[in-house]
Amino acid sequence: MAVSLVDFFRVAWLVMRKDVRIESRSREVLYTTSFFAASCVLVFSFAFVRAGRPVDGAEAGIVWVALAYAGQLALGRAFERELHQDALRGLLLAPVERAAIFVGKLLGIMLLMVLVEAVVIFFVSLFFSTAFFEYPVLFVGLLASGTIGFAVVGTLFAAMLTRAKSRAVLLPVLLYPVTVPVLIAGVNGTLSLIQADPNLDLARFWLALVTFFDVVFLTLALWTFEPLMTE
Amino acid sequence: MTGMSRRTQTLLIIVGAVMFAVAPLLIALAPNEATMGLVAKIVYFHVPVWFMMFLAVFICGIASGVYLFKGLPEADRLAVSAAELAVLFGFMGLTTGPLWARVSWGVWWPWDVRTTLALILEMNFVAYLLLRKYGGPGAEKLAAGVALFGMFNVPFVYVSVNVWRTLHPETTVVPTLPAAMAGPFWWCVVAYLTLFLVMLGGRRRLEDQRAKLDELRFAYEEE
Amino acid sequence: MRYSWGRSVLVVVLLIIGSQFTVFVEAIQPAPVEEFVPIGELPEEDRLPAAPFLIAAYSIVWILAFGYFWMLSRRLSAVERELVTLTKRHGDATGGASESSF
Repeated sequence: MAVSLVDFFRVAWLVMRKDVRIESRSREVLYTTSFFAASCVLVFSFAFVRAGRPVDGAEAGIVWVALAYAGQLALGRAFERELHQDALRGLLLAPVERAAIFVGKLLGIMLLMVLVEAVVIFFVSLFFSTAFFEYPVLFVGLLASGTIGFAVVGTLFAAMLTRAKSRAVLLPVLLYPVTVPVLIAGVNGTLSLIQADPNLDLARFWLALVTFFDVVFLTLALWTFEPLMTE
Repeated sequence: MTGMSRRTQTLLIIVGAVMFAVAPLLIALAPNEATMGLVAKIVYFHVPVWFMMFLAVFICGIASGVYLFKGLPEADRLAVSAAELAVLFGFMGLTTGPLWARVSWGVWWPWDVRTTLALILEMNFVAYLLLRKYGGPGAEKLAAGVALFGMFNVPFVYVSVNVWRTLHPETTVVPTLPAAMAGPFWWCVVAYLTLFLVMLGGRRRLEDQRAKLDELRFAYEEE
Repeated sequence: MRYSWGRSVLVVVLLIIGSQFTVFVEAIQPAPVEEFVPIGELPEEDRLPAAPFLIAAYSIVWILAFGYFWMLSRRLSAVERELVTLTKRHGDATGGASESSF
């Protein structure tokens, strides 16, 4: 049975719409994750502020670490939902391309992360008077590709761990070593944009690296989703 | 050592002899390295150990890929054996590295590319083993995914850490190996390779026997 | 899988390109700053004695290697013992612990 591209994206869209609809009813994951992200920023502020001023370059690190923690939390919560009444199995049994299900879930997670990002950047800009949007195209590009990279790996791992034991603690254990390049690129790219003497070439390099990471790992995820989710 | 085949025992003896013969050879005959002195002798086994870890990572990654897509249980057994060895040799490298760094550069952790890459890979494969141990039934497949991702991640981690580090002061100067040191060095590499292969074989045998035991238990339960 | 071949090729190609990427990276990196002094240039008093570190490193490697072998052989003998008892108990002629190739 040949699957057209239109069908593929239609399925992905349907899965994403389902997730968004469920979430919009209670907004539990959105609110709690956003609040968690804000608390992260606060805690890091206490760690990295000396005499009322942030340690040089701390803002970039705080943004990405808060995002990584909040993202991982959101991933766990989002997939926990699929456990109720064996919803995940139901989804997988549907006569659709499984990779499309993965993309649908991925889009939902990315949307959530974008909203959380907005909260994090708001608070960091507020606390440290950082001009994040001095080079808006590069900065947004960096955020977007970093979010995609983190979400791709995170969605795959969270999905495959849904039915495993100790999944709550195993997700971060598995996720962080693999997303190290995204974090390094994100932090250093952001740093090169907000520092006193911005280095745009370097920022472009980091952006290119993360984009490349996204392409490779999205391909890998689409390739391995089917065998990983089959019992 | 009981439980191993005749061939493994013989190989083990040979490896032991080779390594034992090499150690005093290195210490006595090889010249002291000009910029780093006596402590550079650590390089003779620190680098081969790193080679072996790298080899183990790739064996595990490829075997995991085969297991994931072909479902061959032998591939999974090879993967778990390689993962354990990656963690073992990685640990050896991560302990000897700082010992070398402390004497040569005054810091325990030089934050150079190779050490940091080794640490991240080590964490990745410890995570693999944790997943297998605590993930419940069916975790072998999930772990295979982790190993595959870890393997593909190597170039990205290398590049990102490398560029990240060059923005900071250069802390390590690894000398190129002069001819007199090359001989013992490659001897050590071969010795460690033999050690690695023997360990891999032994560990695979353990997995095979365990699988056989499980099969038998299952078969007898049905009677 | 239907198009797994195409995907595999794509991934391999991307990987190869990715590894070549590292070559271009070298060209755009800023020059590293020298901060640490190689031990050869340090005065005698500042140097740490190398011998204990060297010995410690050697010992660690040997202990770990032989520790692993010992643990492996112990586990292996336990499993093989159990195989023997299991097959003996059921008097099965075809099963049993074979010591052949590994």
